[in-house]
Amino acid sequence: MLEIIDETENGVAICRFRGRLDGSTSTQADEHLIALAGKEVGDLVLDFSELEYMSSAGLRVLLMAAKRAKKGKVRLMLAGPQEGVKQVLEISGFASILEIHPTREKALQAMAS
Amino acid sequence: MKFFLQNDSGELQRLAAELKDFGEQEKLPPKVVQQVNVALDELVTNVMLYGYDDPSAGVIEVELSRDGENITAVLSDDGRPFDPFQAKIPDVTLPIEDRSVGGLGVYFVRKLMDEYSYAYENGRNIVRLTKRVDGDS
Repeated sequence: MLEIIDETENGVAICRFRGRLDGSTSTQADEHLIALAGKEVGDLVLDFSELEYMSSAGLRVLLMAAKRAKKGKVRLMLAGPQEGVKQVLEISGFASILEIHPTREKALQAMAS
Repeated sequence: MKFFLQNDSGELQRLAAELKDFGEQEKLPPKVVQQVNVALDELVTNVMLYGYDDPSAGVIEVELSRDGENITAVLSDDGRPFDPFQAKIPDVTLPIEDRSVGGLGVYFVRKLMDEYSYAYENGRNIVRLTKRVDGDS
């Protein structure tokens, strides 16, 4: 089960991921992020603080989003990954290709700077 | 404990629920449960995607046990013979433009588990994983 909640804070688009991002929910997440990119929301923070679990199917979604962001010249940041999700990001080397902040506040500060 | 998963990605949620039960029963650290979950998730997903010509065929058997500090998971399926550990190790240092996710799942298994092996016996793929509860990775 995965729930994605769209919010904005200080004018920055935020997607709050809640639940599990795996092979059973990755298509839903991918479609959600593609739709957002289509609306040209600009810079985007993915708030992972309520994401309990992620597998490589989730990394595929993140990689696609990062490639779209780069092409569209917008910034994409991850915020607040829990320990298990963080380990998956680190082992895969994604921690070095994505901008990851410990909290949403820190991500928003980085966006503003 | 033993359970069976149908060839349907929705079954990943049941895999997670079964592992949670196993973890509670054996009083395992949540981190270990999650690592075993990722490893099994990746292997099960591969079997679902590539193991069968008929995308809904097959039943995957999972058996979990604990012997002292060792958690053992045995995964078996009757899909086409495939040794996941023959897959080439992905380059995790490439820049975004050149990255792909192919091979990362099995890479997680190698990194998160303490031991892993593959056998093809009596028409079944059998993957055996061991995770030490007191490990620090």
